[in-house]
Amino acid sequence: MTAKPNRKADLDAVLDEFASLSNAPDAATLRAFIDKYPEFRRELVEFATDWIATQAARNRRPVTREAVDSIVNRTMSRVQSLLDAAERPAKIADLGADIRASGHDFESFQRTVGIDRSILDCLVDRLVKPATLPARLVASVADALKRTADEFRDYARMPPQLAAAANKSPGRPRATQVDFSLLVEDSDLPPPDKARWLAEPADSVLGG
Amino acid sequence: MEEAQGIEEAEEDDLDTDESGGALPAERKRAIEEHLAEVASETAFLRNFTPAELRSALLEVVARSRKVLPESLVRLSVAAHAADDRPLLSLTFEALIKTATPLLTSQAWDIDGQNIDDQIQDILVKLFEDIRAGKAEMAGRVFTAWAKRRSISLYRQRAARFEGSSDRVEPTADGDPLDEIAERISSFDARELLDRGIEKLPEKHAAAFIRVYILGMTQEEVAKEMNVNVRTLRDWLKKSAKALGHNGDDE
Repeated sequence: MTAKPNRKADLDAVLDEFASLSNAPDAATLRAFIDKYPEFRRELVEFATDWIATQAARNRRPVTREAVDSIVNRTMSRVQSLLDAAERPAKIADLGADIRASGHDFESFQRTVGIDRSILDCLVDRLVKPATLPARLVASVADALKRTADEFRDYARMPPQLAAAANKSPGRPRATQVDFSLLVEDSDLPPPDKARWLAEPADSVLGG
Repeated sequence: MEEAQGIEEAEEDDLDTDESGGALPAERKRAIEEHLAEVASETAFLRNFTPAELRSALLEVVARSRKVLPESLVRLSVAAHAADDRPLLSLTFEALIKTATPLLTSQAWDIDGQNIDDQIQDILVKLFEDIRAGKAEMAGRVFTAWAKRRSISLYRQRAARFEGSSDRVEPTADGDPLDEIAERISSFDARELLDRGIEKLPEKHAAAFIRVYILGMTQEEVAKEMNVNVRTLRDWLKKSAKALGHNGDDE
């Protein structure tokens, strides 16, 4: 018997082939693929289902030139930032600048990490007690920034940004670091997302 | 140049699959082979340009006065990255974005407004990273298929986020299943009904409806794969048909 094939790579190749169909599959086409690749039956059925579902829900509005230009401009801005990323400093000195240098804008960064703007602002200004940051948040932020977890931990350990904090509205904490859980509870995240964050264990390195 | 979407028009009712490998219909395979030959030819043609000519051609793409296949632009981006030519990489990728955005917008199926912008940006930025990481082979072969997989992947992430919301409409197991309606919807009618109102269906109900009525799976198969009993599945199908406006009287 030959060596065990790389299932992930095989599945990718099969789904690429499946996605090369000119239209969403019908029963006969799906059957042909399942007959050919019975080991990927579940993945093929799921992909076919999602393809048909998304096609049925497709956006039927015409695409305007203005809309295309807007997307081109915003995407190219992120691409240029990616190209600049190699010139980033070794340490994170300004989280906002580092987010942009990683190819994100604030909105895409929030989406990637799964936080809202109020939490992000507090991370940027270091208004969170480092020991209360969840391990998953540290990993997600570092991953999104294309940094190591330790580089983000070093940033989180620095004192709060006094100048930035002083400019906040009177109702906001002034250079006082709070627990991450408090930020989550006060955020605009949907309740399931809040519950998920609140259940996350703190980062053991920052908490130790 | 013919646009990539052109190959989408190939017929796929020929299921005479090639025994030598793959399950694509033979006609579709031929269409893809022709498409790949066109991509290779166009890429070679553009790579023979002088740097000034290539820059001029790419600027024409950005200005919409010239069309180049997205696959060719992916390949040119890969080459520019390999040559460490940042200005050329930027320009080529901008031309690619301009070319690909209408297609990606049409594939941003279930979202609208700012969310479409966000999804397309995320897909394109990922493509840029793939190009730099040497992982853009599929995008450089059949861009529409590559984009379809990325769009469906993002759709799944969104669906997973809201998955819990459909649980509460699970039927109770009492009462007689009125599943006769299930056998009365043809694949064609099912697609029409979905087109008109898929947004009315919870995620799981839509998946069950698609698998039974369009993908031709048996109710038993679908129930097993979705980890519910057949009675529950039939209830989902009944509710889906009703929500989509099918009353079963027209068959």
